[in-house]
Amino acid sequence: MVQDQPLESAPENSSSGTSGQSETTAFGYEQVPVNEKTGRVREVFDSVAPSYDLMNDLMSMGLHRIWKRFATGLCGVRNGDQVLDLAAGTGDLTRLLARQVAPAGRVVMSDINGAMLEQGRDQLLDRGITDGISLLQTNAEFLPLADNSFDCVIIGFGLRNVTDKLAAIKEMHRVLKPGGKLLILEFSKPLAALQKPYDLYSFKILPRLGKLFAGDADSYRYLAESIRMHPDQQTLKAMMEEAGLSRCHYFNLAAGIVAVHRGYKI
Amino acid sequence: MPLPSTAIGIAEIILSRYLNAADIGPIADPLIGKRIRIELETIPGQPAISIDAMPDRNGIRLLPGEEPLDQADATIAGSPQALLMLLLNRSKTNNDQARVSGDLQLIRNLTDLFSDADFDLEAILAEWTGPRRARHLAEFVTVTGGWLKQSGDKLSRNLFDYLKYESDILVPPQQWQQLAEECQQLERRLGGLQRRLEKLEKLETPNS
Ligand SMILES: C[S@@+](CC[C@H](N)C(=O)[O-])C[C@H]1O[C@@H](n2cnc3c(N)ncnc32)[C@H](O)[C@@H]1O
Repeated sequence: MVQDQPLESAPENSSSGTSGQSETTAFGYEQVPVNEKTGRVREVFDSVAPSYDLMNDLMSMGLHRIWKRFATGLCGVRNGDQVLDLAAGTGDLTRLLARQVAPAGRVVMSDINGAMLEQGRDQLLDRGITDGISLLQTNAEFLPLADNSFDCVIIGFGLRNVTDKLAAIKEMHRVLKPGGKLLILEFSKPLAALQKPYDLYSFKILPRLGKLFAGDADSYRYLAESIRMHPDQQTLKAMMEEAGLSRCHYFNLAAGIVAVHRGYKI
Repeated sequence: MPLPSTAIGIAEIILSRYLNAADIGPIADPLIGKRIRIELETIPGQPAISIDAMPDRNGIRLLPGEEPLDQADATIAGSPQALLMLLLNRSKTNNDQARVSGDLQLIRNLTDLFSDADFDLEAILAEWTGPRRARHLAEFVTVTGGWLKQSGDKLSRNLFDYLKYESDILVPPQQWQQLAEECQQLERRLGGLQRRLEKLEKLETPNS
């Protein structure tokens, strides 16, 4: 089912489960038919894959590295644990977690987008990291994985791109072992005082950086819009509880620009 | 009084690293899933800082103590020094003792976890609690710095960077005001720049 390289694709299913043809969903600020969003998101990440790491550093001024360390620190995983990194992209979280669960554990690095996953796989190989990592290409809403199989599931900066977020969180809950934890690292709602400069940065500067360094302003405009459309801290916590997670709590970072949500399967 | 969640998260990460460095095995079953309220009395007369410690198989998760007190299985209250002495299983002769209530066996299991740990934290921290605090505190910081350095990757450095970053964000309101004004100015300039670029694009493509 899950393989050590090369990539494996899960069966394609782009409908959200709750959707019909006529229903729409947010793709940034644009409304698109539910069954088109996954494809549109995929196009965005196909386009940004080659420059993704550079842009991450530029966009967050390097802070994403600290946010990722904070989130993986809160996973509290150990040697021997099984971890699922969803929407893993180029694998930053996978790399940090692989070290924590080595030598007996395993991290499944998974993403819907083959280009991002390939980029991630190559980077891991370049760093000599080969053991204890499996790759899986799949949509986070439909995980081709057994119930109760992971000690920890993490999704970093990925949930906002998923069409049916609640369905995805329910899937994450399903594959967690009892006692296991889910961590969601995602952009969130900053303090009111930060809102204005943050808007300026996101809508004026970010797309320009995207154009300048990645030759692609539209994808970076989508990224900024998708952040604004993502549920705020309290709403996401309520969604986690609705999906069956317990003891849910969130940790604000950088005054709420980013938040780490954590919940347990009890 | 609950602590900000970022501070709690950082404390949890540091605690995890301590427990990992001390090489403790999986946490014992009776502790797992329990909630232990810690009331940290830092400044006399001020409300205590409430933290909930919740052991799981791999370590101890910390959360701000926001839930009602009756949700806790046990409570430990006292000054940081008194709590430290309790965790290290040392009784103190003076009256600065931690107060415990609720499931006392649970607290015993917790203190056993720390006192069994194969890590000489006591030697480091005992000095801190001694009478000549200032000098010893400096020693503590140096020694802890060394320990953090030893204890693996660059996490601690990143945390300090992070704290520095957070403290930069928490600037006084006048500076916020100034930042907002500078941002507006930047916005106007960007607008101007955009219009110039559009003009240039038009000049480059006269037919369009
Ligand atoms: C911003 S990147 C984050 C990558 C990585 N986790 C990180 O923190 O750097 C978002 C990733 O989400 C993936 N993604 C988008 N929709 C998805 C879905 N429905 N299921 C799984 N992954 C998805 C994208 O392909 C992309 O690689």
